[in-house]
Amino acid sequence: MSEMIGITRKKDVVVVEDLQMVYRVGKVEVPALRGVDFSVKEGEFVAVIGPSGCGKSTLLHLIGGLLKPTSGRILIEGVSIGSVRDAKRTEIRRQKMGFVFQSFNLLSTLSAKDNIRLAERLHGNGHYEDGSAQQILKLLGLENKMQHKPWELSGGEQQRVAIARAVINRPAILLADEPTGSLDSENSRMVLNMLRDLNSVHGQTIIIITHDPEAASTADRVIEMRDGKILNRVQNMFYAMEETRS
Amino acid sequence: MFKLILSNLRQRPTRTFVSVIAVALGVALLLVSMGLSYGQLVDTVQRAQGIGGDFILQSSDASVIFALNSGTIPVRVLKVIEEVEGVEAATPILAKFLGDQFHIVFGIDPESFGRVNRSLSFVEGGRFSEPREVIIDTIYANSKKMKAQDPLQILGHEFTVAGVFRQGIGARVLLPLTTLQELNGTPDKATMFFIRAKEEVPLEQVYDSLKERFENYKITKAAELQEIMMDNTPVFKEFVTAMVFISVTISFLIVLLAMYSTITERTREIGILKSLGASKGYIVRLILNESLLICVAGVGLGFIATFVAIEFLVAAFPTLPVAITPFWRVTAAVMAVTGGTLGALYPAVKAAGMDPVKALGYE
Repeated sequence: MSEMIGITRKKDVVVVEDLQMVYRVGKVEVPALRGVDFSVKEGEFVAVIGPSGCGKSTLLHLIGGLLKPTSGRILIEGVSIGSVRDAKRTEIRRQKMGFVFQSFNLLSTLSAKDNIRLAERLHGNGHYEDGSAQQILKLLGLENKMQHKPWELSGGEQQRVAIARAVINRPAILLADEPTGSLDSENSRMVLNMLRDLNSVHGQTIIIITHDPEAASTADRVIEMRDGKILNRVQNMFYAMEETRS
Repeated sequence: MFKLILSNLRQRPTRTFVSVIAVALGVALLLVSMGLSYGQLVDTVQRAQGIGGDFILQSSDASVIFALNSGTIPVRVLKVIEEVEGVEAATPILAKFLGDQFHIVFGIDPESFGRVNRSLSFVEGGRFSEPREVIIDTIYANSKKMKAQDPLQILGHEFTVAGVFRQGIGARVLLPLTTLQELNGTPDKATMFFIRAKEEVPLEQVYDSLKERFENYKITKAAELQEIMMDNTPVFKEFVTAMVFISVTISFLIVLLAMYSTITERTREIGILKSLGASKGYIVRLILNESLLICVAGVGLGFIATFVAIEFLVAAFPTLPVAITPFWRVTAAVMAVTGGTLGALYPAVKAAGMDPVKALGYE
């Protein structure tokens, strides 16, 4: 029906079902997620907000395959990453995910260009596209900083390189953990604009974890978490837009 | 990966340098000690073979290490040996180890020695004709800066150097058999006989004849001397095993320590690699290749250090025989790389198994 009226329904890139995560600290069990359900559609920009310790980062790490859930399912483009072996989860991470962290997490011994190229090589099993690292750095206004080591770059520049590294392989999802947490307001705005452009211009699916209301307002949809649960959907611009169109 | 490895090694130059030096030390230790001990053995064999005999006859309990034996066989046995079918000539030799100078001298009977040996040639002077004359080889002459007619003290007695012969025959110093018998307190006795077979008679046949005639004696084929010496030299094999073990252990421990501390320092980096999708195999290969590079550099430096050490030793002690064969170079390299790889294996596996979230949160 939707095809008949010219609208293609976007597929779910991420589906989270009854996700539970319990950390064990000695003999004590600490629940971090207590049954989380939500999904993210292709091309959607979702912000997850909530106070410290509410389980936002755990949720991001689980979606990114860096952690294995205690129970529940996470489907990435239809593949359940919670139930696959470690090697397969690593492969999914390599092929479908891009990470951006608060503390940039660039490899300090490599230049900006080599940090990006490393991600390309890992993705392509040693192969990389000639000039793609230069192109993306040029696009981010860092063409003069290609050979600079991370410590020779400002916080904003480092985060831009980190974003370039995360999207160089055109991942299915970009996962950003407090991407503006270590930046001043000017650089924060620049990074958020960059994420917004990636989403709106290139259709990049993005899930961002943030404390920053300005950062959250950049997203199409905001999910609020507390005590390991999703409280409500504060905004749902994406769905609202789709429903209006259909 | 290679760029990442190189940049990591450059990032910690002191640790890289110390690790390379330590691996080099293990390689040099193995090569120098093996070069000296093996060189001594090979030199002894080559000089014994240089006498020219096909067989060596010794008393039944004698060692192939000539320095360990004294004169126990009567010289008159010579006539019996020469009567054996297929024997062309034989010569008695009395070996005496000079503890104060740390080398061996041979007492020879010039007449019979000349029948067995056909390669003695002099660069200066000639054979001895007097009881208190000796002949010395070129290495001994060069190391002591001696020439013909110079005086030489042996066993507390003064001799005159009658000639200097080209090295490679018997001992560094040769003196009349009767003189050495007298000084040694073993008149008419010899340590061993070197026997030359007739060319037309097969060696095996002569060997069998000698064994039959001298069943209570030890008869060694000169061609097999090196193998027999390596098998019978006291603790040679144990020494080789110990040196190889020490070399491997040094590489193992140093690389283990270096790589263990490096992965601890680089925990966050490993977390980043994992977040980028690096597999366990990639991280293991990263650490192993890094240690391999350290080991290869250590082997190279070890070869250079060995060369310098040997040059220094030979300059200081010219009579010191050194033989570093390609086999030992390859062995030293393989042992260093094996030790280093084994040492890096545990840190590599540990790094590959790190929890990525904990690694990313490591400060």
